[in-house]
Amino acid sequence: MLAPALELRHIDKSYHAVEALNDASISIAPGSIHGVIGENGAGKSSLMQIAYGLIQPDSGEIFVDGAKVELLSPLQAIEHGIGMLHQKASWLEQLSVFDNIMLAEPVTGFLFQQKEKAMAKLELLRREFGFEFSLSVKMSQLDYSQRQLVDVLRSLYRGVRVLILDEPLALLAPSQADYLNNLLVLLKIQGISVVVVSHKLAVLHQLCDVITVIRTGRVIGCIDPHSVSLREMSKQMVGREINLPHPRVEPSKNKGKVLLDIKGLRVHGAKTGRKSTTKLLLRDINLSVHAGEMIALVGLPESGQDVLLDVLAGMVRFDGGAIDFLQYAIRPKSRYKINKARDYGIAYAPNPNFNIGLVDQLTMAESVYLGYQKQDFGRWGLLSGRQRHQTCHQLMMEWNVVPALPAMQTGLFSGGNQQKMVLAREFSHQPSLLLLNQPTHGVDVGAIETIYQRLFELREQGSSILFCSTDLDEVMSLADRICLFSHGELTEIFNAEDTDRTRLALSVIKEAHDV
Amino acid sequence: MSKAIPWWFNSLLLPLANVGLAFVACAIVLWLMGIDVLFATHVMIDGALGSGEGVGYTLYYATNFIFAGLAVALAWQAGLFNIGAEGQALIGGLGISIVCLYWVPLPMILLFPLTILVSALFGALWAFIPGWLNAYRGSHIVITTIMFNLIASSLIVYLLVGPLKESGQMAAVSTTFPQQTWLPSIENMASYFGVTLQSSPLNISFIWALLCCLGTYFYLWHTRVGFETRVVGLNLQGAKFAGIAQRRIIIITMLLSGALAGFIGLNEVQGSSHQLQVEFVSGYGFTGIAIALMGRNHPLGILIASLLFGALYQGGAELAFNIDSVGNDVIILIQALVVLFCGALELMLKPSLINLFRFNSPKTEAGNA
Repeated sequence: MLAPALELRHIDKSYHAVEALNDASISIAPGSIHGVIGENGAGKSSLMQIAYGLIQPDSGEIFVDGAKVELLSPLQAIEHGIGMLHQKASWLEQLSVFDNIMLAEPVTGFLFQQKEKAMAKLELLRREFGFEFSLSVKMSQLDYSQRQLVDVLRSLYRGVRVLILDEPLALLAPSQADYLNNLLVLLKIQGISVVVVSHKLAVLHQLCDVITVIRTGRVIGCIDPHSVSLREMSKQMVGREINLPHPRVEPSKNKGKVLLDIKGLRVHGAKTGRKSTTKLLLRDINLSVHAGEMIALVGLPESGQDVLLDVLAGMVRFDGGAIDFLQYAIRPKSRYKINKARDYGIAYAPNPNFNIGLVDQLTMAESVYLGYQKQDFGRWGLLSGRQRHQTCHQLMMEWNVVPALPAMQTGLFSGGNQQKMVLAREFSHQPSLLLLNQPTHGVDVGAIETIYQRLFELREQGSSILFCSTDLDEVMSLADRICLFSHGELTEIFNAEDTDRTRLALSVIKEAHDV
Repeated sequence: MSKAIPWWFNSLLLPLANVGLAFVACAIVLWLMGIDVLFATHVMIDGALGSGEGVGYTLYYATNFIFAGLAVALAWQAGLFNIGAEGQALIGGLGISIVCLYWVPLPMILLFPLTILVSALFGALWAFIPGWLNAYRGSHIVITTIMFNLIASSLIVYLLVGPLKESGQMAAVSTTFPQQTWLPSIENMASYFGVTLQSSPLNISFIWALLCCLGTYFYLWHTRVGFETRVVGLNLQGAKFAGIAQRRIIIITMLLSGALAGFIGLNEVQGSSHQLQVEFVSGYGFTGIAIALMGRNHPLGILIASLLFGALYQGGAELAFNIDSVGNDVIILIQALVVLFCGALELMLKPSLINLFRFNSPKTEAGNA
């Protein structure tokens, strides 16, 4: 039998007396697709960061192809053929794909010679793996999922043999499903192992050869997805029974009055370069939202659904049309900002990928006030530290945030726990209209169940909810109506009862090829 | 086995090690100059802390450093690099001089709050223009505040050779203020309570400086505007999401920063020289940058750094007085080395110290620090 491509043995790791990993071992076979699942804060990310040399374990050993190695930095990991896709990779927008890939490469010999060789090699790889973008196109012209593929290409160029994908949201989007499948097969044929960390259990269940389950820092076991059901898999992960897909709760029949009325909404894009033509980000959007209604906005990335949320939240100005919310008339000329939105009772949980809902360097007790500092601080703008601490701790207990330490720096919490805090904050202010962008991104199935429960409760109280999600299962479990966006237009509105997941997925993809 | 880094590592051990290293470097330079290092150390320590007079001078200098350090640090918390404390202090001093020269006969208990107010207003005014330009026109705050330093010093020179000049005097200084407007010295205040202290220029503005430390801390960490200030300094997108008016915060912060810088005039002009002099700020504003750096932009750190710099200033002056081959340059050299090791090379010793104590080295912390 071949030695495992990458093996981590008996890894321990603690942060500030909080145990992240306890005697965790994982073994990645060559040319396999290996899933890693676990709840938020279970230690998945820590384990992957150790494998990529980003952090060092307190104790334990790492083997590459059966030989013991020490990974003190990502550079050393790369030398051993380990690559990782970055969640928040930053690219130089104005440079080409080729230049972005070459930036990090060491210069050997004459630059032009090296460039020629690299170009040939990259072009070969690009064709072999079927990447659709050209190497000379500017980074700014690629969408989010294509950027992740550029990252994959870079890893391939560096001769990666174990590729770690930590919650590759864009790649796991339904529109990319076939593509990702093909890519993984191609990688496998080349003998490249892929490690996928994700909360999208259904996707992993389909894709992976083997899945490692981590619970509270310990490896619970390895699952063969061909012989274990999805339901059993999620039970192993959370340690209790979870209904998958999450069950729908039908809304009470009596539809409330119209809460939000959008008429002819139009948003111009920023002027692009020298050309004075502006793209329309949103074109003639008409939508009425009743009280007690939950509406999903779906579509391919950058079809305008995010912009609509931003406009309603007062983050982006609109150029035409009218929004009527409760008794308030919002027009392009009215100075509608996010503070106003909060005063009106509109709460917004932004896309967790953009990292704006919390401030990493503040303590969590402080981050929890972001946006509500006007309401929550006392009359003179003062607030005692103890009170702040208590409020935060209470929210942490309610939402099961671990570790429940309000004084800990926000950035040290795992992504899923940060998202729980954002939701906790927005829910705690009892909004009449709740806007959510990828509400459960990075959140584990157990927590998703609670979040859905709370969303249904909020809807029952007569609040309306608008959310964007790339997870069609989520859309089907939550939404009463589904709005399909394409190129800045609202092309179709489905009633949830009249459609199913497959039809919806087909509609989303069809829009992409229509234009 | 390795263990997590304890709190005292970053806030106590590392700064102390840095200061220690700076002193070692100073000792080497002094030794190369052929100076008896032990004797020089003795002179400095004795000069700064050995007598009531020395301690008085040390605290007197520290007062200026506290004001300047707070001014720089407060702006820095909002992501603004205010290097105009020098000019703001000059203009603050001008405000005090106007009050004291054309004084309305007020008792000290009313006059002191009045001069605090006026120096704050004048300093804030001088910081307002760069702040406004930054907030509404996108001008770079570093450039504008530097320019405003030059304008301020030209303005003071003009006033002191012209309108404010004492008649029949060659020096570019204003008339000495009436004695009733002089800030009470700590020496006099102590004697009121029956305690005898040696004479020094230390005055009541030192107490005001301590209150300012407390106030700045309270403002930044316990008020809403302070909270908003820090968010603007940390994450602009986050600030936008939180609905914080960034321009408003920039202007408020620059006003407060300028006001703090303006207080230097209280200590120097009203507390010590009792007249307006052309160069009374003499670099305190710039040293404030080093103080803020060393004090990690935290009022408590600034207080400690100011005391250290006050002692260096006073000890250095004694050194220059006692040893012929030592001039003012050596004092500047010592300060420069302290700034170099505590500021620019702040993290140089960190990896080796972590290894020495066998602590964990989380990469993220090293990156943030």
